Amino acid sequence: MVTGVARPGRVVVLVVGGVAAAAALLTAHLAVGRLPLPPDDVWAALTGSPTSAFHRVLVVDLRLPRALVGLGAGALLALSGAVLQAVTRNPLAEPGLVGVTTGAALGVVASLAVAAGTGLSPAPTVAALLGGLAAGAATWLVAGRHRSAPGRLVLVGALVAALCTALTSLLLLGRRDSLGSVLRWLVGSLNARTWDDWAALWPWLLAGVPVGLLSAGLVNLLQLDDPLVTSLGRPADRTRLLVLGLAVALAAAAVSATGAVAFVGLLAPHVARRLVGADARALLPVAAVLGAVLLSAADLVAYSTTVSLPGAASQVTGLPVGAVTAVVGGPVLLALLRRSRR
Amino acid sequence: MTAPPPPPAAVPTAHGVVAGYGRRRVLDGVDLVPEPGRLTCLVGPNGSGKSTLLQTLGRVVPTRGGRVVLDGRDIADWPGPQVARRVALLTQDPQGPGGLRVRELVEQGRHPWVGAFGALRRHDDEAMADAMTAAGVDHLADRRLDELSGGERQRAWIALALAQDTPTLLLDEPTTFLDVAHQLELLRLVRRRCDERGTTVVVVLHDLNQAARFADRVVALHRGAVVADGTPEQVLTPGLLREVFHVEAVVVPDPVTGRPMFVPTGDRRDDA
Repeated sequence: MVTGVARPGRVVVLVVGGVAAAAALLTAHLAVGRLPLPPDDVWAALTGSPTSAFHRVLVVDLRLPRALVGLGAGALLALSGAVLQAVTRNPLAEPGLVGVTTGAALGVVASLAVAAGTGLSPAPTVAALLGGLAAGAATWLVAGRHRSAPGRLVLVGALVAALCTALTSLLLLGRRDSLGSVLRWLVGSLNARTWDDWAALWPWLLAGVPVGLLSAGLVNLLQLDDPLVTSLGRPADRTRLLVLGLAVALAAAAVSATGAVAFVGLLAPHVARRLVGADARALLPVAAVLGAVLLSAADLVAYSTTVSLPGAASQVTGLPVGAVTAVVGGPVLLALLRRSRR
Repeated sequence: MTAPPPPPAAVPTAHGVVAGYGRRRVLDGVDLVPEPGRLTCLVGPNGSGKSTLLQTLGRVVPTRGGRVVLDGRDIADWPGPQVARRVALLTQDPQGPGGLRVRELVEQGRHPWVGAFGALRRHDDEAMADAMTAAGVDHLADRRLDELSGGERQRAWIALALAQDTPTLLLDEPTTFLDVAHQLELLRLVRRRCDERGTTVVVVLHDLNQAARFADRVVALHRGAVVADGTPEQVLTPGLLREVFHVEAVVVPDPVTGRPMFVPTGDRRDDA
């Protein structure tokens, strides 16, 4: 047997099945919403045949970019989470736990404060990206020399995340008026995503996903402890930094488009590992596809659900997708952990 | 299968090596030139510097003074993968994810040959299969690490080191988690690697009688320095046991091999 991946057929089936599911979700996104459209109208709007201009705007300018951003960000978050879990040698690692998502939110809030003070207004997506990268870097630096000990990075990451959250809250105290516009970064939302958001995201997908998948060999190696990695010919610390930096960049890119969506980066790799095992060559592609499906499905639920929130005057539609992933993801993860061996 | 052993390849050698962690100096000017194709055993009390010496030979711990030389060059000047193709090091209590399968673990041993982005070729598969058979884990190839017993897991790690297919093998207390039958099996396997393939082996062992039985040469370390170096008969003497290990013992010939065997004294129990 010349291939190293155990049960390669299963990986192919899962990836192809996942891509098919993603395509189905994409279609559903175009049709479902406050104004449901029959497939004929969706098709007409897409192909540009003479149709109502309103349908065209609805499908092509509102629903399509939102659906694409959801799929792309889900894949990036899951890929990042899968890489992080392997490299930190901690199955509970995820973009949020190394500070990236909260850092992104802080970046946006800080940029608003800067904008108010100076009149400069950096784009929120750029601020989110910078905030996420900065928080990831801070986690790496503070973790210091013992960063490869399992748990160390995640522990420091949790502290950095808490600090980011505290700073965000402080900044928001003085700017209650902007709370509404900031909320989408805090909770994670795909509402009102446009082609601009997709334009900022697709280069990351194009570059990040192949690089992420190609790094599977290194990711496998980094699951071992540092002396072993070194004795197998790789400088452990530098290699860990390289691959971790990749994971942070992927997560920061995703979060800059969606805000701090919870659980996708944790849950998708977990499920993928149960399906195909710990070998990164199988795990990474399956996790990425699962992440895309997960976030997209959650968003479908989010914007087609109407809920009565306690204290709200009217019913709320268009929930932020982060609320759905948190509400659903928490219990699912608990169930998975209870069923796991350890 | 009577192919002659390949010519002895370059072996990492230590010359006046000083090494340590933080402020602690663990090795204080150690020389060690393992003989190619022979089995050298490092013995010494806990904290005497055995593991550190092994790790400087494997380029995992950098030297602070002196040199480790591989094939005429300072080992620090070699590219990492080139060292890893020549020297395999199995550390004490290695850590890997429980969800990894034995085959996937052993495959990491091919990393120095395959690289980060390469694909396994037939030759790599053969090296892996060979390593798993030699370590006695071929029937466990598709099992997860966390499903294995301590002994099986240790043999999986040995298979990882063997899969590197290096002329030099450095093993740090490889028998620690094994029962006595598996200890002997593993040491016999290591002995065979020496005799049949001409592999140079440096192994840290705590069991002095096993060291005496399997080693061509025994090197005793004490407080970061070599205090005795020679054949088992030359090194494992009552005087050394007293000075280095603080154990009073008599040394008698092993009734099976004739090698020295030490028996501690002072614990005689009165017959009931």
